[in-house]
Amino acid sequence: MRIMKVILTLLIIVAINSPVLVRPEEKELLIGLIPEQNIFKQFERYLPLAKYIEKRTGIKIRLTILSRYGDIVDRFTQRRMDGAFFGDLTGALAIRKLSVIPLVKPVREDGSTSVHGYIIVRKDSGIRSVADMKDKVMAFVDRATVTGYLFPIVYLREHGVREIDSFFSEHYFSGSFDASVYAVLDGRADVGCVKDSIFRNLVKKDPSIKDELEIIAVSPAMPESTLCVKDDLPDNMKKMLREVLLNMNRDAEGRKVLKQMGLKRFSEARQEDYKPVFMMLQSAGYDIDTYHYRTE
Amino acid sequence: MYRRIVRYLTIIFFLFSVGGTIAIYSLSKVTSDLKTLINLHRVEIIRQDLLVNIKTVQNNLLAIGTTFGPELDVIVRNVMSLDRAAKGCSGCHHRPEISRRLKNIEQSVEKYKDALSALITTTANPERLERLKMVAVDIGEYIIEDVGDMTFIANKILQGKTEKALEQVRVITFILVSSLFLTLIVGFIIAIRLTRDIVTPVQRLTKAAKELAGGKMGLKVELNDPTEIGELARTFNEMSQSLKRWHDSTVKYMNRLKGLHRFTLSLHLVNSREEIIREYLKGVSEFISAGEIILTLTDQGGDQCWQYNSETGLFSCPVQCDTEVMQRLYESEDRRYSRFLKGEEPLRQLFPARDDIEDVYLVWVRERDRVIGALMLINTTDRISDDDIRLVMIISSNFAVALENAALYDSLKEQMRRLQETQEQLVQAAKLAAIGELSANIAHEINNPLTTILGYAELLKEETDIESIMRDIDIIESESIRARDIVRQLLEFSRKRPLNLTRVDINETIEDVLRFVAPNIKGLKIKIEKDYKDIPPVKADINQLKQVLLNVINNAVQAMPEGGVIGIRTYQRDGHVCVEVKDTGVGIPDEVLPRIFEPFFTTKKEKGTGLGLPISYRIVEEHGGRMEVRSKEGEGTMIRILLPLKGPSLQIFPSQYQDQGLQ
Repeated sequence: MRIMKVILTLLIIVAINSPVLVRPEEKELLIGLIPEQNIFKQFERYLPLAKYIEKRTGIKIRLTILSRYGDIVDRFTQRRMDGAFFGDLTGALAIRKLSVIPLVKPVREDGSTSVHGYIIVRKDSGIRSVADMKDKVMAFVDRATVTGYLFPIVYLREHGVREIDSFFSEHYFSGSFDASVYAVLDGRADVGCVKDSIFRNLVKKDPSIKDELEIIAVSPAMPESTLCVKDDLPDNMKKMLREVLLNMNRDAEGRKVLKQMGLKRFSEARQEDYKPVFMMLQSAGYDIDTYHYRTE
Repeated sequence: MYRRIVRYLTIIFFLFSVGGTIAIYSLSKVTSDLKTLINLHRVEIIRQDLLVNIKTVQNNLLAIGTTFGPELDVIVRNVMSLDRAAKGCSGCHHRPEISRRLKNIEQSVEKYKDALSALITTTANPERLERLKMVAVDIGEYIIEDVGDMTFIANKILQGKTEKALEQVRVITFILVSSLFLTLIVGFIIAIRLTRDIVTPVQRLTKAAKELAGGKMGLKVELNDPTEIGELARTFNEMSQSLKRWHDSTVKYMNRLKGLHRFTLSLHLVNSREEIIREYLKGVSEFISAGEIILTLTDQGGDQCWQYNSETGLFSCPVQCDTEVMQRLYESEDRRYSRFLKGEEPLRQLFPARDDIEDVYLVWVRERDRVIGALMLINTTDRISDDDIRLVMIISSNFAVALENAALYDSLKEQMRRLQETQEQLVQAAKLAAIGELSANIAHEINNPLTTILGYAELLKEETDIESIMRDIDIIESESIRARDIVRQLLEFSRKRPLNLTRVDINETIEDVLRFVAPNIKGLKIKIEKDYKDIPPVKADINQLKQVLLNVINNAVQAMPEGGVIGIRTYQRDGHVCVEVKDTGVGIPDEVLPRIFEPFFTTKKEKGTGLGLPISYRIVEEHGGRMEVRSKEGEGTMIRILLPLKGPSLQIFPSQYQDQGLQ
């Protein structure tokens, strides 16, 4: 009995003096994904990464994908997400509105960490300039993207188009870049927009796409999908996530996952990375706080 | 046998191999078919998975945009399940028609996913959205139809394959049972054959080995078997023969040893030279088969040679022989023995008159290193072995020793006879000398009073007054009494009185004697120191013992005229009770000490008769004890009396003086 008392006392002392640690196995992180491509492919693309993080950190990672870019901003708090791979504009919005901090950003196999937006048309469409787009069908991606909406709008404005409703016979939002590309390819739209990383992936799978499509305009460099997490996540957890992702190119399993995702590695992300987005908004005459990012 | 076993095992192995190979071939075919069956069954599983998942997704699809529309994550999960179901058998080796349809379904699912994703993510007018939905629904339906077609084909193939597999299983069963049965039959026949080939010879060998162990040497097992068993039987026979040879040799050797022992014993049991020679020749004849055995032996003086022949019995005749020639031959040839063949010079010298002798073995008879004779083994029929020669040499050595012993014995007997004669003469002379000395002592002791008596008797004749006469008569009387006392003591010494034995306490007895002596030593400055130990009583004649103690103590007192210390000590040692009486008197000179127990020997002139100590010595001796004396002139004397605790033995041995004829 005396020994039991001693052991209990020791256990209590150890418990009191132990630092308050988040026990990773008891925590589950909900990470949101934006539908930058086919949502099922997007989901499949991030699943190996989620499993890798689970294995390395012991933190269970649950992925959730949203049907609209803007939903990521609206539903982040509502669905109690802990972080998300934000796009260019959604990232800027999240930093502004959701108190998230950028953690890591992907480095593609060619070493680039930013993306460019393309305005595309079919080669056989005869469209060679903005003027040729008059009364055509435009397939944007989402209002909450720079490369999939804001850049084409800015480009059109720069070329004298102020009212797209009257300029195009129809415009709609395909919701994802590949859907926008396929819409142009299939003739469901005449003009589309896509970001270069998605375009390259599609061409890689089907090289004929490059022969069929014409790139009319290229946007300035924008930040690639960046993992941002809630600022109030425990520091050690943030540190652990950052360390695991930054170092995953150093082990064979991590390199395998990165290769599946078409990435070279992850690098540290900063708020400054979103400076081009803010500049783009500014040049378009939008205020981020009042920008209507919801696609309806 | 090894080859036979290998041959049999090869047959069994061959049968097993043939049966096994056919069975393995058939099994591999059946297994292949079974794999096909399993794959076909897997198609059914895929069908079920696909149908369940696609119908679920179709339902989800139709509900999109309605109040009952599911969460996007649920749709994603369902589509992922559908995708897994479509890709679940991509690595399976199906028949081409099945694989083609599976590939189609997989591609359709990809299109379905694209259509679904487009529908979910697109924000457009309702017509566009409806068109997108219908595209997705159509693809879903197409997939359901494809799955149905694939299942129909798979079922058809499955049925055919199952029937074929069952037929093959029946064939395999038949082959396996047949080969097993055949192997069992062949194995049984081989087992019987092997048992007969191995067990029967082994049993015979075992029986023979037991008989061999029981003493049946030289036993043979006849087996006409070319295998290892036959080799074993041959080896067994050789071992049996070898054992017999060794056994016979050992028995022969033992017999020789026994003979040698018997011979040696008999040789040393007889003392006569002639008997020894007879035993020797008899013994050699027993061991060696020679045509003629002749012993040439020098006589005891070494001057003359004598020959003895075993054929004609023991006879001897003097022969001429040169002992020097013999010694030279012995030294020049092998010192063990010599062999001479017919025509050789030594043989001609030895037997100049005989030409019938083919060969002669000459074994030397030696006393230490001196040749005293030779044993000739003439015309031997067989070559005499080294063992035989060694035996003859041993016998000859024993013979020589026996001869030497006999000579020594004769010499010893002669010396003993002479010694006995000398001893008898010496004893007689000693007796005469002792009697003479004793007589002289007696004569001297008796003569003194007799001379006085005779003198006073002569005076008496001339005496006239009565006073003188009475004085002379008194002197004559006293001298006569003295003479009588001398005679009485002499009688006392020589008379043997029976011992009246009682249990005597020695310490008390000493005290009694001291009380008796006390008046005599009063005023003599003699101190008595006593040291009595606790000793048990002894069986003794108390009066005679008192006489001894009185004698010894009186001698001590008389040895200290100027006074001194008498130490009396009693103790027990080595089964004896010891009494030591030690004085500090004048002591006994060394030259006198050996004679103090002789009768009439005294150093006290007129005070003693010289019979006190001899009488004491005799009494102690009669009690089975002894007396010891230690003395140093000028320092004192110690006399120790030792009496046995168990008392005197029943037989009283006569004393040495009795031996000398004093009684």
